[in-house]
Amino acid sequence: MKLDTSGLESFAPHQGVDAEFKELSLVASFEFPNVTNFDDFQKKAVQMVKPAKGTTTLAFIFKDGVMVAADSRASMGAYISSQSVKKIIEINPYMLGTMAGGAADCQFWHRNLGIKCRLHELANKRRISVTGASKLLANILYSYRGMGLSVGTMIAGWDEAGPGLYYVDSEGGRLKGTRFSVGSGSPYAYGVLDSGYRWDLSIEEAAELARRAIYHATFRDGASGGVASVYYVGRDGWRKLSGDDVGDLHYKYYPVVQEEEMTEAAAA
Amino acid sequence: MECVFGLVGDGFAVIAADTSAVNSILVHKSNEDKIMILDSHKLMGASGDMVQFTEYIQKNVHLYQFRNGIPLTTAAAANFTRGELATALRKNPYFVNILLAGYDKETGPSLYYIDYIATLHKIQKGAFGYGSYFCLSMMDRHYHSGMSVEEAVDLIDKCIMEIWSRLVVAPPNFVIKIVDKDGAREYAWRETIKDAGVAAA
Repeated sequence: MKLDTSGLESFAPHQGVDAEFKELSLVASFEFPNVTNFDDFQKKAVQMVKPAKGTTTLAFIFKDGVMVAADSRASMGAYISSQSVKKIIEINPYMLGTMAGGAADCQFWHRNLGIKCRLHELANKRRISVTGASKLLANILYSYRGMGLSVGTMIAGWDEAGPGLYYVDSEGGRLKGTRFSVGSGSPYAYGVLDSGYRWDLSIEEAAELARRAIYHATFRDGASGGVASVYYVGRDGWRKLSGDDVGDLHYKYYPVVQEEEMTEAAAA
Repeated sequence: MECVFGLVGDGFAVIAADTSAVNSILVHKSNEDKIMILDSHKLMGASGDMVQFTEYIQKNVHLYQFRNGIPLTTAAAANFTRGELATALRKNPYFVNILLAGYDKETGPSLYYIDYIATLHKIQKGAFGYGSYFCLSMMDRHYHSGMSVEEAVDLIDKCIMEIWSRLVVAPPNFVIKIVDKDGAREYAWRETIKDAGVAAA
């Protein structure tokens, strides 16, 4: 099937440049690695990444906009490789993407999406909608289906139609919704999120709900942890609300209470 | 697992489909519409990996109409869909099972069964998914040709009730769409879970 490689195009220089430059601007290609079994490598790569959508990310729409939150742990099997990964990616000043799955895949394709969105703005003299941006990403991921990309992302933004939230994954799925959570910790986050959710939350309440849901997921899921970041997307774009270490959050929600000392009964 | 089923009645065809979007044990949403309106008088209910493929078929159906000034017949649309599945089958198969219902002025209502390995049958009643294990026998028992809308929807409801009571991972919500001489439209929802908060996303 035809791959969508438009993101990998290099743009041709203006006319009138030297012949040298023309040659250099040809699309770069790479050589296949010289191994006996080329195809198995791809299968192994997919298997390595598959269980490791080790993360918790969530986003929900409420009356004032979209709340987006994520943890910050990166794990390679049982090894925690980082506690400070930025899983909320800033596509442009009014759209955020979340990262679950392969970090490189998410970062690259979100960056690529940002480029496409900017090109859309320049070509059409208006911002791209969240619907359009998520469809662009979904179509690109669909064209690479079965080739080992691992991306489970949510595109959250505010456009002319108001707040928008889409879930997009590397299987080619795209869902419009009001509440999503993605990653190995997502069932835990859903439990807290679903029970506390109301449409008419205030911004502070919604942020606290998001933070709490991430905290509870990091408590139960070994592949999630680090820092719970909370972002808010409103009419004027996104802003970061908080970034709290989940260890600190634990003692804030469940402070250690000094047990009462056992005292001797008064002597009879 | 995704349940899609449908039948042909007196001057109409009806399709019902579940509305859950699921990923392993997790239900992402319970109001995902899986019955696409292909054009004014055609419905395509799909299960599996459907969005990309059904949109592709929809756009091609529209393109034919723009180019030629007249819409495709249901039979032509079904054969086109089957042809696309067949071409892709040995290279890059689509994993979609489809029930295509339509109404043509000359030939009346029709229903086509198209499965993921590009089988095509014109049928009076059919079903896909785990729900089919329960629905097919129910439809065999209670179906007769020339059913009225009320009778047909009653049979659909019986099938949904059976799925809800007997299928271990029964989807909570269903959507029913109908196509007749007045066009293709949504008929009803059957819900046990309503998404909290704001109206349909």
